[in-house]
Amino acid sequence: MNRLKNSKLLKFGKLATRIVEIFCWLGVALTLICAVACMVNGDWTAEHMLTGEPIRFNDLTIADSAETFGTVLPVVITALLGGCISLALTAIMFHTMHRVLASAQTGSPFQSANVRRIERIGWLAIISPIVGWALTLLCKFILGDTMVDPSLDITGLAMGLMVLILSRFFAYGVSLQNDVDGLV
Amino acid sequence: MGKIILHLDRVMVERKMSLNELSEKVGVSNVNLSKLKNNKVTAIRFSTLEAICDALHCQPGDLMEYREDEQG
Repeated sequence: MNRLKNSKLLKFGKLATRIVEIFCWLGVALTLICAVACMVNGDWTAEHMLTGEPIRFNDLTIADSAETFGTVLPVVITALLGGCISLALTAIMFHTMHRVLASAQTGSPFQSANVRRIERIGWLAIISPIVGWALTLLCKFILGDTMVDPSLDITGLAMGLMVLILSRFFAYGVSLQNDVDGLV
Repeated sequence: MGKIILHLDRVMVERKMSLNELSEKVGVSNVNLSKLKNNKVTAIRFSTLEAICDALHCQPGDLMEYREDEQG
């Protein structure tokens, strides 16, 4: 158990997940501010946000310039809110990962709370690409663009499914841990 | 389903043996013996049972009893 507590990988994982979580929440705050700014004053936002680079969301070009920005404002707002939801889901996922790693440093990782946490990570990993895909579809629908095929991140779905399966394995580990704890 | 009840405390009193003394003879910590005394365990190793029986000069049946569930 001490080897697990002193594991450098575990310590690094804890730190990394915390940092990523903080950046994700910052991203949530920024995208929310941008979305609100777009809602309040679209023209002002176009002037100050566009730097000549096209705005893209999930391989879909939303606006090429400040001139087209105003006409596709609903899509920009939808994309920003979608990005906000995706980032929030990612932040929750990393927060949960951090709690799993933290629990391994204080005791056995095989706790029923961790089974629920890993299950949550699995569901979030499945939901996140679906939300992105649904929002891309919505943006395409608003733009009336039929040229670009919406793509679903199968890797994310597969990873989520694998994590869900691993949570079942973890539940078995918890029952074994309970047996060991009660053995004299 | 019923449950197994341990009578280690009773046998220890009959043999006039303290927890510390039994712990030294059996080689199991006070904490774990206390768990056994208070029926807080879900399993016991044969080696532990053998050592306790050896130290207390008793049979496994003296230490444990199967009690059927009152509701049937």
